[in-house]
Amino acid sequence: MTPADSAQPLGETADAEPQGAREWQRLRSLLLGHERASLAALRASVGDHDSLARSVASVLPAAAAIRARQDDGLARVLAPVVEDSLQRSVRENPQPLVDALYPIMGPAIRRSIGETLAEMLQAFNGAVEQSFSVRALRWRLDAWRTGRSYADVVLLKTLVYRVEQVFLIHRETGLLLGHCLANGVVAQDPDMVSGMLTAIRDFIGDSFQVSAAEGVDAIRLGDLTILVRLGPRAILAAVVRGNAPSSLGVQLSETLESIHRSHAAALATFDGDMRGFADIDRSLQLCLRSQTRAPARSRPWRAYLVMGVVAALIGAAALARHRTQSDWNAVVAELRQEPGLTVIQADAAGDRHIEGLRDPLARDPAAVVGADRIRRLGINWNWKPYLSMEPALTQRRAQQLLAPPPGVNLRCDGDVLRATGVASAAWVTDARHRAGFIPGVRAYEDSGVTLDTRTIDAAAVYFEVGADTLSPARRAQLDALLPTLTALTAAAAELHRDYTLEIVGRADTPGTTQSNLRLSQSRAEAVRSYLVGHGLPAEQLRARGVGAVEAAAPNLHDFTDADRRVEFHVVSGAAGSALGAAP
Amino acid sequence: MQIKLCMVGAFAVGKSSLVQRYVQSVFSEKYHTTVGVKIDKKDVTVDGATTRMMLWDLAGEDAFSHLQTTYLRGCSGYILVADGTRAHTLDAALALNGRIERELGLLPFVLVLNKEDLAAGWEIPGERITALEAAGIRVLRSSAKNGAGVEAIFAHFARAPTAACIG
Repeated sequence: MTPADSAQPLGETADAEPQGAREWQRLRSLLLGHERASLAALRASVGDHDSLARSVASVLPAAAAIRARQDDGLARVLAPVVEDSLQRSVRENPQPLVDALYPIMGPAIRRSIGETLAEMLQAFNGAVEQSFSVRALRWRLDAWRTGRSYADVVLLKTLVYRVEQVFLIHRETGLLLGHCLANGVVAQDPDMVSGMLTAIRDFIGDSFQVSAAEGVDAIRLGDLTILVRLGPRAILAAVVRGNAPSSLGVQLSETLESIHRSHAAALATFDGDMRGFADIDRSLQLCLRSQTRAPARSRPWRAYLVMGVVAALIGAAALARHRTQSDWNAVVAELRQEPGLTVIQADAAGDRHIEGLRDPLARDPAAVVGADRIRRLGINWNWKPYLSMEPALTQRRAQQLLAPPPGVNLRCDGDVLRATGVASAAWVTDARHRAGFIPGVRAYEDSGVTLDTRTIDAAAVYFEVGADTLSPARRAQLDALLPTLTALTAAAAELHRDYTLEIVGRADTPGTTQSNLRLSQSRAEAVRSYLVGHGLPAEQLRARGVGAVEAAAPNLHDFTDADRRVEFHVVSGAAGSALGAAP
Repeated sequence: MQIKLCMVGAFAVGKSSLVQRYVQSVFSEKYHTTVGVKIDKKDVTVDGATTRMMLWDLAGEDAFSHLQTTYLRGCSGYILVADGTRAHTLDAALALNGRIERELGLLPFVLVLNKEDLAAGWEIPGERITALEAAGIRVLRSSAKNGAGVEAIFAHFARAPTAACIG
């Protein structure tokens, strides 16, 4: 046995094996000893899960890269797995995906919203511009005259250019590979047009010896241009109305190049089978550009203006409404505040209507509110009569009922009516009787009223020289004064006021002081006797002779008949002040 | 599936009449005299498969106009038309065919002898047709007037354009 034999792992025994087989094993050991060992190691590594995984992991990225270059087999296999993983991830915990996508989605959404708003404003501006200008009016007339829609006329007048159709034509056969049409454009059968276009290109090329590489790149007829771009396998033709910008030609070239790149195989082997070009229209759509005359980025001033005017109108309406509302509130408040008016209900819904009560002595509500406001606010009202106990109204009522003479003031403090000033005794007595009947007056207070004694104070009875008897004329004079004096007495008794009527006798200067004093005293006594005789209380009449001493005349020799007289002074109580003390 | 087919032949052999009643057309006859070609369209359905044929009807050749072979470029086949009542149109058609083959190589084609309805005035002897067929040319008879054989011409290309007879 060789060392190689002992190392071999198969471990067959010499006794169990026939001789031939043993020999064969030995031969294998001798020839393949080394390789068998490494084969066993390799087998072990493949069989072992971990080491197999390590081996595959080291080549996996490179293998994926190689396969991806070859075909899309890897993508096809992985697509459902990736979809499944994404769905599972979203279902189980969407947050990581949200975090990953947020930085992209946020700006994209904002931009999309921004662009949509800008477009809306632009469109609105366009609409406003079209609706409000003289030009728009002319176009409307055109539309009416030609029987076309207004939109058509606007488009036609404002169009700088518009790509109406795009053809992708197989260069060699002239067969149509793709075609798209702008909205609202009516076109002939594109297959036939495509062929004819190719034929015409050929015709021009043949007729004017243009090399095939150059070909025709534009056919122009009126305001219609057919821009043609030539590729190695296909031709792109765009039918443009208006003045196409040079950038459009560039775009056509780029589109054609990109189609050649993306559909290289389908173009190279084209035999009439259209299946390879199913998605071509999407590329062609991008060429359907147009531009109108309106400046693309002008600020929408007209829209701003219209919006501004609308906002101003709304503002003015709101302000007017607010003013009307506050006017109305003020009117109701003023009416509520006015004495003698009570607002029961103020209804501003629909017509402005007021239900209320009105004291007959209250001010006219129309005068309170003013004719102007009544008309402007459209107010109507219904007042029912009532009796107000408000002091202002009570005072007014007292004024009407008591008819105080000038110099007397009536004032209501709560339910107390106060009279002040100077009044005749007759009025004072009468007022006392009447005040108790005035609604709203609980108490009448007239301590502030002074009895009017001016008539008495001004009265005088004149005598002949040296006489102290009353002539018939003097008696008649006293008779005239009697009612006033009687009323005073009655009032004083009524008002519980203490008073004294001083009867002062005077004499002229001739004669001695003594005789004059005596004479004046007897003149006063004569008057007193007469008055007492006519019913005046004797205890309140005081006769006093002052002689000539108190004569007003500055010169003793300059006397008059007026000095021989009796005059009256009403003095309150013993103090001799004016009658007016409280009872 | 779509293919380009050309119709060629001498002047006034009835090419245009042949297609006029059977195809969809938007262009007027004047294109023949101006551009030298008029394009029509015909959809043919055979065994459920529709083939769209773009027919390039080339202006007839005569002393004044010369056939522009440029128009034949990229076609899947062509229809060689002759007037059965005028033998010289067959000669002209065969001459044209020779020129096409020289300039564009071998393409599938059929030879159509038109005006079959005018049997009384028929000028082309049967032996000549037999000889042409023996040479591998597919010969069809048609009448644009009564429509006989017209659909068969297009059906021929719809079924197997590449298997058409190569002259």
